[in-house]
Amino acid sequence: MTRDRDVPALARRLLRAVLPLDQASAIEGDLLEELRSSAGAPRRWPRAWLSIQALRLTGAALGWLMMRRLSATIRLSLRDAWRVTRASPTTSALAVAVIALGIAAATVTFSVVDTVVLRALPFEHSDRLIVISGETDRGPIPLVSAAEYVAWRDQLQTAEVAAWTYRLGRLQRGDDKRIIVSLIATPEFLKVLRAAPALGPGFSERDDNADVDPVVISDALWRGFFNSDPRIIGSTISLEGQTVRVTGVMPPGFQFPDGPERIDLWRRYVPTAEERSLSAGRSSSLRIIGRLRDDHSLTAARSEIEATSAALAAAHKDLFGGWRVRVTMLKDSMIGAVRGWMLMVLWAVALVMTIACVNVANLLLARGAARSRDLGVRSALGAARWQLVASLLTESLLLAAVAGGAGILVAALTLDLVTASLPAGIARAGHIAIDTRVLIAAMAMSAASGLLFGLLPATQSSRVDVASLLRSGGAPSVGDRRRRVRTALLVAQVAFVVVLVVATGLVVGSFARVVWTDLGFDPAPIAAYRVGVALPAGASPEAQRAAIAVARTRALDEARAIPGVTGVALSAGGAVPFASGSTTMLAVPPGAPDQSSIPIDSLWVTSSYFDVMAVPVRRGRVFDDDPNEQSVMLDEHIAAQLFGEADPINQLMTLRGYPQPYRVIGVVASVRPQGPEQEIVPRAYFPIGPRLIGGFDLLVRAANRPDVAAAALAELPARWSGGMRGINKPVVLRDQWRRLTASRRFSAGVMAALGVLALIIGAAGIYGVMSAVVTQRRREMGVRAALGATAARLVRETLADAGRWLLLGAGIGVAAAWAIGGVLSSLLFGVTPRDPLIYALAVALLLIVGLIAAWLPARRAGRVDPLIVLRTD
Amino acid sequence: MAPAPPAALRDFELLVLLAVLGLKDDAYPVSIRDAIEQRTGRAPSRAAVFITLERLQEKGLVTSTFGDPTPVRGGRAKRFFRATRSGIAAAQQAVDQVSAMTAGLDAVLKRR
Repeated sequence: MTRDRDVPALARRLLRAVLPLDQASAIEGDLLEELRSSAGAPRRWPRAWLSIQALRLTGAALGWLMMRRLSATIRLSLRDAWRVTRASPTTSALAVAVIALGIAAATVTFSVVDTVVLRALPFEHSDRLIVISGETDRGPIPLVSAAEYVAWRDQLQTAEVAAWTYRLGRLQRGDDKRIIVSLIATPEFLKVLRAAPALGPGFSERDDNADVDPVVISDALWRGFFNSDPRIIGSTISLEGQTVRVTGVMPPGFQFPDGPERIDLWRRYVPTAEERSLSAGRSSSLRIIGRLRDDHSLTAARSEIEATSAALAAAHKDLFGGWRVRVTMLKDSMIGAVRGWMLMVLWAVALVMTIACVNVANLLLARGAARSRDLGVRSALGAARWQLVASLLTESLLLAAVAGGAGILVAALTLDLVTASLPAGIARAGHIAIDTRVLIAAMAMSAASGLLFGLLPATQSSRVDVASLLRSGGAPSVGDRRRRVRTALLVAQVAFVVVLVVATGLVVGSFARVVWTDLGFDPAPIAAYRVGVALPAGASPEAQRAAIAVARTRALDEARAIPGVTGVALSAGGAVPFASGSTTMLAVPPGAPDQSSIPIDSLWVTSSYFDVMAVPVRRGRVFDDDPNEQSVMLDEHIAAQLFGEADPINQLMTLRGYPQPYRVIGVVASVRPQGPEQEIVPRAYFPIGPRLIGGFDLLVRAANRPDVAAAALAELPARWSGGMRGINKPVVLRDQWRRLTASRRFSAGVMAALGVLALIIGAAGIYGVMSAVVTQRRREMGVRAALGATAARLVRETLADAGRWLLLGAGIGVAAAWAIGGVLSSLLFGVTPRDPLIYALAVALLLIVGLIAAWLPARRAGRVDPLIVLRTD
Repeated sequence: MAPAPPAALRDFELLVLLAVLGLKDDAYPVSIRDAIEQRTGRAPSRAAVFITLERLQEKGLVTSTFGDPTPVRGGRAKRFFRATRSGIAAAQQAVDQVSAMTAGLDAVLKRR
């Protein structure tokens, strides 16, 4: 045995540092024995081998010991935490409730935002899908005409495009009838989405020559209406009285998120030559979806699309006045409007969560103060500070875990309720669920909140001065420092609450402004029904005119007979309010060169229109229903634009492309037919009488129950003949208006709920701190009461303390809201992000709530009995 | 009070415990590792044997004592391990469970 055959000194020292000497020595012996035993092969580098083996064993021993120590610490901490949690059930329950509410709110919000805003669309390379639409200075125009579609389809190198629209239709097979939603799309539609039927060939090039139109049906329709008929492909069905052939069944669950919520059937649409040529005017009724080709970027596609569109617009200046093309990613276009307020709600929830955490931190700090004796004893018995922190943190993590579980449960129970109350038309709303992603986020949130609200109390409470604790005989003493921390937490909490209440005020204020905006007409009592009139083919204009006149009169008469209806009118050439679609004509201002013209939204109406829609007549008169009248009524906007200061009545208005001028006989109020948040649409009204157009909108005014009137309207087509039919379903404008304002109503409701929640949590926090303050200062107050201070004075002084903190917090909150309010500006309407009234109201509300919360414990200050206080000391 | 049921064993813990039982009074890390290698054909790492023995000791299934120093070990003592009564019970239970589960599987498992 030579000396160099021993375990090298360094390895030996390390091993002995980790393990007790006898154990380390036994291991060294094992290694030396192995090295010398005949069984082992002779080793080339005995010293190196010994060192390596000893180091590996050192590492293993170290890992083992640390694991054991850690698991023991966790076990002990959990045991302690459970004991403490049970020992002060009120604090624990309060903390759990506050955090659970926060986590529930955050979980629900996150699951909604995650599904709607954050996830990818369910299409192959969905990040390549784009939407092409238009806009003018007045706002976005989602629909384009067939001419633009054809130009883009034929000319674009950077993108492939498809056009689509949808409508309701009646499907018939034998005696079975069903109202279905059909998506009417150009043949490239499914290819652009990279989707294909699960059954059948779908649409193909050969369809162009087929005598029977091909359609593709949804899986749900196939199963529900056709009983999963395996021979469906190739069979014919009757759609709107027309025979079509089923050439495909889409895969189950296939949806087109930008379209209607349910699609039963896909139908091919090929624009007619007339539609392409713009010879009959520009009728915009199509939506465009596209896919970027190859590696082309959105920017490249946008500039190509803009160039193509500019060429088209230059060739038809009169029809494209003020129109610009707009290219967006599909996802942005789908969630564009929703994204902003969803993220705002998410931030608001995060703020509520922070307020809740600060609140619970304060609660735990109070409990930590009560436990200083317990902690002091543990410290005196040799517990290190980190062990105290660990055990205090474990307490808060335990609370957070319980709260997280409860919060997720509450979220799961309320999610359906929340998704049901979401405004209609939010893409993918039906897919919102609590899934793995959401669960992971919720659990991470719980853990983070546990750390957030636990860390400060843990570090503060573990700061135990054993000597002074023992001197004071074990009575809990609360240092100035801890009180300062609690006050700072209170001020922070108040500041957060103010920020949230201000945001709530801005959002709710915007909603109020939207509701109060004057639309220029009164949608509330109106029901509308679009009526189509098929004109007899090959008939003379006189015969057609007669047929139209009969249809109009009949619709008016029958609608007037509906009980509760107080007025009926017709309009044509545009859409009913809150729906899209318009006819633009070009007015040439008097004395202006022929090239300059003003685009005017034009509507052909009966003279009753203004009474029925409650559009005030400002000057002049309403036209007669004389079919030959060559007169027009303008709104104030366009009248001023055309004729300036001069009296517009009896002036002549020239329209580009129309030889005969129109005489202005009346001026009416300007309207916002697209809703309160859209600009005024300058509009001219022509008498519907002479207009040779088949379809029209039947408008009825039923002050009490427009919904009942709408139902009665839906009954009318059953009695009609002569090519008259109802298109889609009657609409109730009040419902349309509600739908239009649904996002605002929803976000205002959510923000109001969160604001109230924040106020309640904040009030609870103020109550808690003031209670503690009063308890701690009982002795001082007793002395002062003995020296003659009145009860009222003691209460007043306590309230003044609270008021100072409230004001400080409010000041910080106002400054913060002032600084960050700008991010909300795109979501606001009619209020600025720094609206002083809303700030003042928010601060006033907070002061009132805060002072009430402080007053309850402050009353106790006035009731301090000096005799009892002084006797107990 | 009824005696606590024998502790459940992990695979490798059972191998080490059986080796300790088989080596009777001569069970120390080197011999334990050799025994496992001879019987199973695979040598476990020294660290695994060390940690497993520590864990078995913590569970109260083995105890350890130090022997006398020997020259071949550079004057170091051996650390001998012995199975406790609950160690024997735990091994018994684990082996019973395995044989209960393997009964009737001769054809499938091709026992040698």
